[in-house]
Amino acid sequence: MFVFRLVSFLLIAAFALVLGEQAMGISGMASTYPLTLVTVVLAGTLYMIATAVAQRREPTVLTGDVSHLVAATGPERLRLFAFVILWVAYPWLLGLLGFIVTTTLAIAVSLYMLGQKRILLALACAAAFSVVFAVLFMTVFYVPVPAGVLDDWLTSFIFRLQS
Amino acid sequence: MLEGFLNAITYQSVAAEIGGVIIGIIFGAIPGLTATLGIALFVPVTFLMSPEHGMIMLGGIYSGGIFGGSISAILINIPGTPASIVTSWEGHAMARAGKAPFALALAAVSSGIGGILAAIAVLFLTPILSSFALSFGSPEYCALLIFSFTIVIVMLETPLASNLFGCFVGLLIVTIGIDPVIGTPRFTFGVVELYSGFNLVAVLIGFFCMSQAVVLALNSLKPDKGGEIIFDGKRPYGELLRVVPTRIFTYLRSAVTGVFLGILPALGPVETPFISYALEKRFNKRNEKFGKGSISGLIASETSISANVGGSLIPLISLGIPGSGAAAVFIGALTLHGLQPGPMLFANQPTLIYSFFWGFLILNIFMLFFGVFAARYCAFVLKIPKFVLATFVAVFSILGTFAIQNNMFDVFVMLGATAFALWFQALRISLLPVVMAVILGPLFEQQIAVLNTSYSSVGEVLQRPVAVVFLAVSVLMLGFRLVRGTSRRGMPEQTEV
Repeated sequence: MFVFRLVSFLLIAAFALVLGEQAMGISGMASTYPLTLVTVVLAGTLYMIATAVAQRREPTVLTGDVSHLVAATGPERLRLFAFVILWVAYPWLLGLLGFIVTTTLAIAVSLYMLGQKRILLALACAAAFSVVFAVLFMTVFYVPVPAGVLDDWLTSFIFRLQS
Repeated sequence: MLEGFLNAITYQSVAAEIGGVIIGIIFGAIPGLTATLGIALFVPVTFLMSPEHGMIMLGGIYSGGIFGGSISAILINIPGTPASIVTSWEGHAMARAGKAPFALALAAVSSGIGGILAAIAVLFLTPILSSFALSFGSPEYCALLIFSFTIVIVMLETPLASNLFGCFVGLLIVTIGIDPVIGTPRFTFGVVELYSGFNLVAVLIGFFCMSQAVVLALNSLKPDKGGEIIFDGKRPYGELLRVVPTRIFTYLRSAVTGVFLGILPALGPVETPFISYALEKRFNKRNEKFGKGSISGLIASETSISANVGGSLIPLISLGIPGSGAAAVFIGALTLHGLQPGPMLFANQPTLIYSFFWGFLILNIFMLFFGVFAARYCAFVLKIPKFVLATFVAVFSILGTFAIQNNMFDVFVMLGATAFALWFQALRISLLPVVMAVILGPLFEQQIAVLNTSYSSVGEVLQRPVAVVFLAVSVLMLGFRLVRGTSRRGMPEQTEV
């Protein structure tokens, strides 16, 4: 935990330094506010690092939700990691496969990974959700979600129904 | 004011009130889902509505979400939101004694009465505070913002240094975007999407929704410790009519406590019931056994929580200062509709604000009746598996963020904010100072720029009495916290509701 805290604060310091370097390029009074903040954050980082070093031998007490996340082990941690990867990948996959296919797959895989053992049920629920929301996005919310082959077919089908 | 009332009783407003309350109760009743999460997820939906209907619906979700937490607290002894911890002590004891319907109905009535009293306070106090704030110049605004940051930094359970650090990191993050002084892009690294800074609602959805999806996912992998639902008991209406009129002072005491604490930033619905409960134990003369199904204890808890929700609207609307995570999301929703919370909002859009206030009052009346007659039927949501919740909170967080501006960049900002929220929690740095800084940072920088150009010396600023009072109180609070060392013992750790 000490190493994690140390690396984290060094990363924040690096971020502040990068912004500080850029703030130097801002002309006149406009640079005062960001430079002041950069200085305070750098000083704060040093203080936090010093505190972390001073407390490195003390047992770390985490409370709340993060304590559960940190305490996750073995298969739990692996499945949680897969859950995170899945939903980080989802926005990228949307552009490749379109809304209906990506959302159906993502929901089904997520449900299956976290506990729904009947994959066909998971797929059916996910597909129903995706189609309903695809229709809602097209006809009610007017949200242009990325379209794939199925989405295009659904759009033209709805268009034919309306005309 | 009358026009606002008429707006609040149109069928669209009533639909928003009813819909908001029901959605809120369902969200609040499910352990793991919070009122803040409910509000954040439904912000994009308000695009389909006028601003007043959108705000009324979000108000309903907030109030309903806070009350909904008491359903699981009473029936299964698991608080749906952290605000309902005290309710679970008394309410579940009543349920175990075979009075579950009475406990639920009493919680609903208390919540409703707390909300109604708070709405009345909001209706009359907010215009006064707003008109007072209209006379503020940049020194007063800067001092007020410093006061708001200070009160959050001082009141939180986490160490003072880490609260301060979080606040400054938040202020630094929101410098990314267009410089308000010379109007050129700053810290954008050539990314065009960053010219307008980070989308506030996307950041808040990351902080409060997607991070919760990750936690829910983990909880779904653990064996379910959900308790047995205790549902038995006779119809509560007779006992309710007998008990409620005899507890007027408890209601008034708890409502005043709730509103007062709601006005102060950082003392949200999580801390309020503990303080109200302690006050009730001190002043109650009925010789009730607190912790074993005390009627006054349950009333004190539920009334103060609802009153706190209303109280937090006063600084939110009149000064643009959020007192809690949920209030912060409200500010995000208002800005998305092109409205800037603060005294000018009241001056420019009085009808909209009064519509919202009247709507808030009416939705609390609706919540009272819904709670008494139908809350027990919401218990079905306690059966929804956590893996379903985790999956759908994740998908709605992403789709909701995309829908704000039809922009995939916002989704990546939201995912980044999620990682940031979990990272800072692991570093034991509270998110509330960061959230406050992210919301108020741009205004703070703007006011400092005005102050710089309008005043040549500190002496001139110190001639403004209101600014001096805010600054003096801030210094005193910081000093007091430094002298006292660590914080309020016996209070719960700051958590979102």
